Amino acid sequence: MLGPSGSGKTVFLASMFKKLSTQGELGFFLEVDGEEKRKRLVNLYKQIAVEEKWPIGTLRSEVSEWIFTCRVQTPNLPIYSACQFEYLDYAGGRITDELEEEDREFDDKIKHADTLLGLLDGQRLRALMRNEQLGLLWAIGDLPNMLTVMQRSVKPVHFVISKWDVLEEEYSLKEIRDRLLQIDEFKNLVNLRNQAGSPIRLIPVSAVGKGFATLQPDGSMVKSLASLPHPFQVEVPLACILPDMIQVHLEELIQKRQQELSTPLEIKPNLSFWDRLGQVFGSGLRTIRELLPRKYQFADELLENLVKFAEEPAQQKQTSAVRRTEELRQEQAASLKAVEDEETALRHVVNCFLFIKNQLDSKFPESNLKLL
Amino acid sequence: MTMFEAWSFLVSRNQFLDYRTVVAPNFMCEAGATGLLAKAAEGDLSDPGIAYYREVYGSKVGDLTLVFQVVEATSENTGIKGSGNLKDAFGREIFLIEGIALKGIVQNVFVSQAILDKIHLELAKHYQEFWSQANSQPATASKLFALSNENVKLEYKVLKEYSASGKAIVSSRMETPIETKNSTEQQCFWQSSPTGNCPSEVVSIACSSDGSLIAFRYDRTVVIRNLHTQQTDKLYSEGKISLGDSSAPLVFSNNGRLLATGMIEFADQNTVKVWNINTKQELSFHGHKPSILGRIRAIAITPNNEIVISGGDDGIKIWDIKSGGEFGDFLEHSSSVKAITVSKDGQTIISGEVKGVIKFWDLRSKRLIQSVQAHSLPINSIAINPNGKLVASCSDDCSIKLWDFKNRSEVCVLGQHSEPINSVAFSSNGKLIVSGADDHQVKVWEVLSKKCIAVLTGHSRAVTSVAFIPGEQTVLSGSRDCTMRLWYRA
Repeated sequence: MLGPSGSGKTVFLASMFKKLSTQGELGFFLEVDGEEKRKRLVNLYKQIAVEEKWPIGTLRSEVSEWIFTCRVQTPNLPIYSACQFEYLDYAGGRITDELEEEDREFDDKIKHADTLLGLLDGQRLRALMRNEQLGLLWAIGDLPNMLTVMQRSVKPVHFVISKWDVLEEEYSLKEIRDRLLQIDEFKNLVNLRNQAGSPIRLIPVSAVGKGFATLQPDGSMVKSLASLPHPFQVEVPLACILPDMIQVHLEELIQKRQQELSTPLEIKPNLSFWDRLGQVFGSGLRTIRELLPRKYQFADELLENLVKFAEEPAQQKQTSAVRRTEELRQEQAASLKAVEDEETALRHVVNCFLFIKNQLDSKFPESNLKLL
Repeated sequence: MTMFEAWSFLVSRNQFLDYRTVVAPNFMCEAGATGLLAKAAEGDLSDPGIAYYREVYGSKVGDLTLVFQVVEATSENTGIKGSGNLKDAFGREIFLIEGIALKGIVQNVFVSQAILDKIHLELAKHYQEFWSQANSQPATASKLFALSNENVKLEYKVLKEYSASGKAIVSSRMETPIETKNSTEQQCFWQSSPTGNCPSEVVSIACSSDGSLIAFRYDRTVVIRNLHTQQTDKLYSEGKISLGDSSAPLVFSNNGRLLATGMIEFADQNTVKVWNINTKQELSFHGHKPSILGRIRAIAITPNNEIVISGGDDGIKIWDIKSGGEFGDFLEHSSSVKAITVSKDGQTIISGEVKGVIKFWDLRSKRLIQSVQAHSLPINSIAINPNGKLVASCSDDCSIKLWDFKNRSEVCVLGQHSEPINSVAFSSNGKLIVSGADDHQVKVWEVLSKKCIAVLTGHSRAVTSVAFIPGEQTVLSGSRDCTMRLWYRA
């Protein structure tokens, strides 16, 4: 996750873990690699939730790699691991500081990340929307710095708006999206990704939820401490990663295949992803599966689900999302009952991810940055 | 009284700028190495009477010793207007990480609170200048001062040694001598040379048992090369492979006269091809299902040079070279086969499958003898050692495992790569194993000690195939970077 100092990377990490540390209606839970790390996250969240002070800024010496395992507990109580992901937390100045000395190891980690999540500081966005100096400075300084790093990557990128609780009372996601698209560097990045067929999203999250903290005139956030935080949508960025990665790879395969064909196929507009794959590959899932990177060579049923619920033409997006909610809820319930090993656990977790992603499309259709 | 040369340093942040080195020794400023301090000086707030001690190795300016404390920045201790803790623009409290740096590793330096308090006063002045900066500035240079060892010293909390270069540290703190390496390890220096670029990814390589010939495959082209004369011949060339096509491996017969592989031919037919190296005569076996239903992924030739076994998406088939006909296929259903080898007596076929299962088959009866759930992910390659007692398997799960052939039981996990392993092979004397993986590396393992004795880096993409040239002094590897490499043990 990329973001300047103070944008909320560490607080997001702690809140995401807190929300997903036990299996609730989201259908899975997270474990972190090592008891020390778990304690650290719990202590971080405790500091966020009940202490007056916020955690101090991440030190430059800290580049923390957190390996999370998605696990599923079945109705009969056995627990299975489904998949793993690694989250990189670091001091934001590393990417914004113009005097930063070359750090090959850190640069390599960014380069090899499967997805980059660009964190847009909700406080700075609010200032931008109000045409305040801090916001304008952010838009011409920190934001382009971050976008430059993101632009270098060939992997999927998403934007996460932190501190959504600060923004949501005054601005809609559409208004924020429109304002961001007025920034050339932002618009250019989005355009490039659109042209490549790579999904790109704008996901509002709040690590503490509405009403927990109040923005002060001096820019600090004062906690109310009268209630506990209620993290909002902190699970969504994670849930979008795998389905979107698959879509990116499949899109690449479609383009490569089209280049190979001596007579280019006429791709009809408004075809679903499944239909486009069928038109180009014809022979079905097995061929497609074997062309994917190894870590995405899932079982047929799972892959079929991912393709089925992959991105549709934008016009149909929200209506489809609403229609699919019940379908996905049923799939999720059924797949939980069917969990009996790691493969079925993964299938269930992917269904959970698809459900969460669908909820985002349904509640925040503007989160899809595919420009018409 | 012992005296040391020391410099002060400060790492902190201000209202606008993230944690960075604010003050650094002058020699580090001159070398452009001040960022190191921000990375190496870390910790929670120091307890009273305690300082952090850290040794830094391999930096641009040599080894260093750091002694420092982490304290809260307050208006009172920095002289900045206001009261109480200083906070950044987001309301978060700020730490000062301040202390001394010495050149080299100095384990007998004693620092007192009085010294740290004294340098704090100097550092606070620099912090005041730093407090309002909104743009990055280079660190301020601190000058050398003489540090004398004090009687009243702080207790040290010793942090793990920091490697500025990222390499493993051979610490002067080691109390036990480094073990003398055995003769094999002492000789594990390897040099490599690329053998030339191919027009496309090298998907398979093989070496004849007498070490005179190598064969390699890219796309739908199969080439043999005489290692002594360097004469190169194309045995087969039918153009580029399409997206979705798979490439079967190459295998030499025991007598070095035959070379076999699987090929996708006209009308999407999956064909087993066998060439006589000397006469260039070609045999084709048709019988696998067409298109993706019958892709050939594994090939082996029995030690008596008479039978070819092919495996793939539609199971395992047996072909008689003499008659040119199909000998049959294995009766029990097997899932997609990705690896095959044959026992030394030619009676048992060992297959590795997509579901991570190793199966042992009787060639004569074509029946399954035993099935072992060997890996959690697809098996990519299987090899049997020259005495026929040990089997090695490698998998997408990044591990290499050894199996007792007679008991069909696991001996051990030999080792791992960081990414899926594509190929594994024994040396001609059975003492070494070589593996090649998606992590671009070739590794050499000693079977007896179960240790990795060499990690060979040089390929820039996945290593698809590896083999020993007989004599265990040379390894051949093929890679998706379109090259092959010969690795010579120095």
